[in-house]
Amino acid sequence: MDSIFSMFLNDYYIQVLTMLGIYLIAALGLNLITGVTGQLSFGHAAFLSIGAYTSAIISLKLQLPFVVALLAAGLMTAIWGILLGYPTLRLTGDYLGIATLGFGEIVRVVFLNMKITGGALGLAGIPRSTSLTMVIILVFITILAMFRLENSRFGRSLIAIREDEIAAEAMGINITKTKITAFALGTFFAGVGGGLYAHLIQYLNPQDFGFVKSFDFLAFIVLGGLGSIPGAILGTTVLTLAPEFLRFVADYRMMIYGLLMVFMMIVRPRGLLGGVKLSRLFAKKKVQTTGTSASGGAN
Amino acid sequence: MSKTILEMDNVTIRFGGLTAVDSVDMKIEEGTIRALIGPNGAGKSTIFNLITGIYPPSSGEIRFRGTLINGYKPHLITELGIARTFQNIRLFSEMTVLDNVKIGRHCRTKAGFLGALLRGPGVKAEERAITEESMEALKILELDHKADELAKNLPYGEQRRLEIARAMASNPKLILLDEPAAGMNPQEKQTLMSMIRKIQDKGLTIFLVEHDMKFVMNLSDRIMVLDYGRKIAAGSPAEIKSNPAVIAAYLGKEVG
Repeated sequence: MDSIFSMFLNDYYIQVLTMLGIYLIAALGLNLITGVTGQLSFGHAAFLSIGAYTSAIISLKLQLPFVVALLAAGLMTAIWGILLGYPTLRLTGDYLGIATLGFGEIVRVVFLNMKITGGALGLAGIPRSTSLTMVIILVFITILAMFRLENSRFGRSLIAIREDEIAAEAMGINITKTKITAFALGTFFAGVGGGLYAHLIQYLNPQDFGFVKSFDFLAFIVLGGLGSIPGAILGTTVLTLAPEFLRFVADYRMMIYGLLMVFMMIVRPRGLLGGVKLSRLFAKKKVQTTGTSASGGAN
Repeated sequence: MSKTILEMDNVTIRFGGLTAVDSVDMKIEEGTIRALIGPNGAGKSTIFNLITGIYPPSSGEIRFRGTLINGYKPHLITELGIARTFQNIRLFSEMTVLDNVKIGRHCRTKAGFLGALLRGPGVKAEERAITEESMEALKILELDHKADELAKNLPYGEQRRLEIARAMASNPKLILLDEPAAGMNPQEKQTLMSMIRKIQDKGLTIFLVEHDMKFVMNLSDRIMVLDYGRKIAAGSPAEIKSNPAVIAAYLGKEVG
């Protein structure tokens, strides 16, 4: 399927780009939860792992088509998102963060001890079904979905909850239901990302979905600018590719990576594209074009 | 006689040992402007929070158009037709003025996340209606020319008015205004007063908390006075002005 790409990209770049695409899908899901709705989640990698294991087990044990496995991964993850969201989304800010952190650890330990997941040995022999072409298509679908969600009645209610929960409720928004829906949608995309990941790497180990990975996803969207779709895309791209391109400095690359983040937070504390919205980008362009045509008429 | 829109019957709320609102009775008639006054800490905002469902009363009954609304969640009470503003402005500051008002339309519309994803003709039509109705609400408060600005960039007086516009967008029958004139200059207060009259002319009932006596006396049909959580007086502005209990609460009793 990736024959077009392999004409001018070697396998290494294809692998890196496919991984980037998967991270983009998952990061955009987290952006909906944390960036748009303002609910801090430290457990995103755990949701990724739920999707990964679900799809892998469906492929291995039931031999169902990849599309079914992916969809099941997304749905299963969303169900767990709802199950976690129902009791915890009454919490706010740091408290919710700690609760999701705990959930992430539980998921990791459960996968480590279950027989069907291969325990600490991991799950190997997953068919390689993920292709770059497919990931690119899914990334575009995800971006479109996120854009539509954000610019709708539903999206407005999410932003309102982030901005002021009390006022949002007083304006007639069912806070609990809306938050849980946002959580389910965000974790759905994490699940799909996990399914793609499983069928790319072909081997799953619970240790790959620990707290550090969850933190990576938060770093992606914080660096890019919380709540901004272009921001989440840029942040994920920069932070996923930076370690690859910094390989030439070998031992120092994680240090440079860290320094980059510190520097970024000082220079642009709201993220690279903080406050930039896709819809507003389009709107501004429109204003500019009408503006120039108006001034052109005056001349 | 006009109908009662809101009725509080022996409503009490305690926070630990503190009785913030103590057996308050009140009836508001449809289409009138009612003011609630009292010294700081008298329990005025608590009464608002009781009516809008932020706190359930410890005892007593609150009825809105005949329905018992004790223990209803705030969003359901808004749906029934009570909207409010806040003493310390609570706007969605990173959203545009128009989007703030659109949130007010939330409880009168239905498109969910599936509608958002699929964007069918019904959803698009609903969205157009939301925009139109929100602009209407902005026009009443004379903010329509600022629709695309971020709420946080509005001057203070306009932020207060935006809160009212947002509340209006939810098509309320009763609107609660918590210190709407706070921090406004005399001219802004005049504008606000005429806007509140305009809202009343639309058939809405207004219940407001306010410290500015001139504002209250000019505007309200009836006034209720609260002190230490208890109702100490109720009546027309003229009656309240000459009520000895009210004067004592505000100025203290004469010595000797």
